[in-house]
Amino acid sequence: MLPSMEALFGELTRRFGPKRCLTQPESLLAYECDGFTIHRQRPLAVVLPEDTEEVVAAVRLLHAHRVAFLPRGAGTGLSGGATPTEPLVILDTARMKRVLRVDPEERIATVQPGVVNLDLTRHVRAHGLHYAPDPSSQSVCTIGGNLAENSGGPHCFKYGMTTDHVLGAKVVLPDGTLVELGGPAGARPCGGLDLTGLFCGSEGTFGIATEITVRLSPDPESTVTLLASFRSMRDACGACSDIVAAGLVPAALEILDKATIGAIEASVYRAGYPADAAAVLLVELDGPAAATEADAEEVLMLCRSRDAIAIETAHSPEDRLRLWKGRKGAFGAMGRLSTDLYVLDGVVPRTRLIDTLETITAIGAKYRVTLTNVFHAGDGNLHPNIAYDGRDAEETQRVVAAGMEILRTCVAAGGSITGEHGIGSEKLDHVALMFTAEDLEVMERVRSVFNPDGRCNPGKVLPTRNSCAEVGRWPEMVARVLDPGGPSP
Amino acid sequence: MIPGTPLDYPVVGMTTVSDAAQLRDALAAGDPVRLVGGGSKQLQLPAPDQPVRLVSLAGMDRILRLEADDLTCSVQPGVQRRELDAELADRRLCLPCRGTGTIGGIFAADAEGPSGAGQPSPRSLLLGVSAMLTEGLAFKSGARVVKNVAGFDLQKVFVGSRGRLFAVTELHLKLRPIPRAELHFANRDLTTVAALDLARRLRATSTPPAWLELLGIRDRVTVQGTLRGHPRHLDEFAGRHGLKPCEALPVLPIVAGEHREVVRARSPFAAVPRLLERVPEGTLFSVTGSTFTVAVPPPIADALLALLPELQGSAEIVAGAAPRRGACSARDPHAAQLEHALRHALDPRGVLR
Ligand SMILES: Cc1cc2nc3c(=O)[nH]c(=O)nc-3n(C[C@H](O)[C@H](O)[C@H](O)COP(=O)(O)OP(=O)(O)OC[C@H]3O[C@@H](n4cnc5c(N)ncnc54)[C@H](O)[C@@H]3O)c2cc1C
Repeated sequence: MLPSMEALFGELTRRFGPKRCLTQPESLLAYECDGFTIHRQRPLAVVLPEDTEEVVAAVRLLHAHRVAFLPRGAGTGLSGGATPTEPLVILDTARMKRVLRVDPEERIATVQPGVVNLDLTRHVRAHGLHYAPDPSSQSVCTIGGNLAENSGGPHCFKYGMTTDHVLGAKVVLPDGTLVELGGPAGARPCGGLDLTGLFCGSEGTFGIATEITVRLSPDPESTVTLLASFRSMRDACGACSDIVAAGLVPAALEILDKATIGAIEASVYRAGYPADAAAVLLVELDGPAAATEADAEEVLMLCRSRDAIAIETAHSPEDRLRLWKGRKGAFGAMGRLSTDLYVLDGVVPRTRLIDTLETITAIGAKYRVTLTNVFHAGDGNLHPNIAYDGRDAEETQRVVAAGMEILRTCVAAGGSITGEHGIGSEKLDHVALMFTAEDLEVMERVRSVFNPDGRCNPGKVLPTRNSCAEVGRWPEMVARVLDPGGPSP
Repeated sequence: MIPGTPLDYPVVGMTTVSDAAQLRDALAAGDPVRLVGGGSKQLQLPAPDQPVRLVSLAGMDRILRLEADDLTCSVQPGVQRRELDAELADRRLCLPCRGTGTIGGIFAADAEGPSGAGQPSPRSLLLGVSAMLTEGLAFKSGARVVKNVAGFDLQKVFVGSRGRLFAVTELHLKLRPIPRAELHFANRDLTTVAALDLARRLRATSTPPAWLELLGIRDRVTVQGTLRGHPRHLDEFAGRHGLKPCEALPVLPIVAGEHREVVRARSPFAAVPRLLERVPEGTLFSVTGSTFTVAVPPPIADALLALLPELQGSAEIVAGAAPRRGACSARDPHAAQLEHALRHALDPRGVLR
């Protein structure tokens, strides 16, 4: 270890104690990757601060020693956002779990970043309120991670993404400066700029949020969940489009394909989804009772006119939970298919869903990978999942190549390479499918405002600084990934 | 810029552009520029600190794409709101935020903020932009689809940036189906206490009005708004809360006058009674969403600017004499520094005023 590192770790250990400053290799093992397991690197150390003041202290020390760091929540990210790409220290928010303030009348709460998404909803339930963004990982993932990723979830079709629910944040910048963005009255102060909106989705590269003020939503008066099963994916997508075209705005519109249904029904997440269906469409309607009942009738009719094989309607919380159980457990269930799972996150205009899914199936066949699809159909946000064995380098290479081609298909359809999981380290090569060198130059300038030395979560979102040359080479890099056997530059 | 209303700051000329190439030329000289749409909001924005050339984007006025089934469209910044609304109405769609003038101007000014409790902010409707820095570098951020987290969201910081960062040449917007039914209501002549109480009750429901405004003078307040949703629900909701349906909502513009300037404050709703205490008897005020607007003499305006941070909010003088317009509450100095650094990074020559 370099002497300067030794000095730093000495200072960190003195400040945080050995239980909150981890340096032993065995305790660092759990931090070598997040939910995206293709990239792995162990950090130099992990620090577990408990409040803003401690984060400021840790970041100032790191800054003084010119050592890079990254913030980490629960590590459920699916794009390598919380995985080191170079030797650095992780600031883990696991001990920043306090709900600091709830104001039921204003419908806002201020929380520490390590508060688990679902715990916030549990905390405010007695007031008839909940926190609307609901990633499928909500029982584990943190509000800090949600903010950094601008996470979505099944209900963001109606209620929007994390950014629509964040009013402000206290942020420790990479040099240890504490800054307050937005506040209870809104994300943008009068006469100022919306730095809160800019911070949201910056994937831990602008600093570390230590207190986050969010909007809470009222629990709906009534909720109805419907599960319609179809003979073809085309019918399921068609029904989804019909529902939107009819002017209905369901809270959620989710589709699962046959392979996913099979995996769920063979797992502990078994929800009784019909085995003979090629796809199921899960529709949730919420609002005033009179409206949801009428809307549910209309959804039933629209699904029937697409020849739904069966439609189940759930009103009680228990029945609704059962219908959701399979969807919420889908990723877990697919864990059974192989040792590793690569979860893709492309977006297409909703009207292009079915064509894109057909292309994705063909791509799966071309690269001989096991593909399943479970997706936020209302938003056109696809999650093709590839089960594979990460110990097999050749298979992993095919998986990565298939992923690249799938995302290329999404962009060609007018969509995006990521709807909610972020770029992280996973999609650095894919960025060129969507953005030009000029686009990235401007983003780089913005990052430099917050993170001028590039020591906060380096190697994420944008390629490293010698960018112009790098950006110019991206098409080649893309070609290389698509054609691994091709010539190297 | 508003017919019959001259600008109150020095202007050395005006260029209207109709495409990106013309825009690049217009910005190339590097002289101080004020970007405008139709110009209708200029007297609500801070005056430039030196003479400027106006660069108007009103000539970029095409609707580029309208994908009704995907609930998205792309427009140039100079498209007039009423034109877009007409196109959308034909397809039973709407852009669910308030605002008049050009679409670029509505988002760049973001004057109104969210229109009611729990309503999304206008920035959630802006999916992406194509834009140009003053040095002529064209770039984009965001996407055309309703969901996307690729790259940093410069489109979000554009909302409310008032042309201080870059010029937007295309806006990708999220649309919504026209609500199934709409019901306007106005409960007039309420005491302040009764009005606040009614507003609080409406805000506390699980389906608060899409638009809710308290408008009037102290103890003669109208609580008015718009309910949207299923027809069966609206009548029942209005009945339950004693709301009085009306044809159209009264509009009482709060304007500056001699010795009176308009202050717009954003604060938690609970702070409204304290704000009202500072306002002289007989002063017209409006509260919408979390925005409080009032026209008051300059010393009271200053007092409000000073008070707001205590109430966890902020305020700005949005109409009045040019030298006072844009004065706002003190905010976190580090946030102000970041804003300054961001402006410098995107417009290093300081062209945009
Ligand atoms: C089974 C499963 C289902 C999922 N479903 C969804 C879904 O439906 N929708 C969705 O959007 N995502 C989903 N995800 C992805 C993931 O859960 C989200 O991205 C989540 O927001 C990550 O939160 P986390 O606490 O695990 O953050 P981490 O993974 O620890 O970190 C994510 C990023 O946030 C940064 N970060 C963390 N805390 C802070 C902070 N305080 N300040 C600044 N930056 C910070 C990190 O540096 C990193 O870049 C799913 C993941 C899994 C494993």
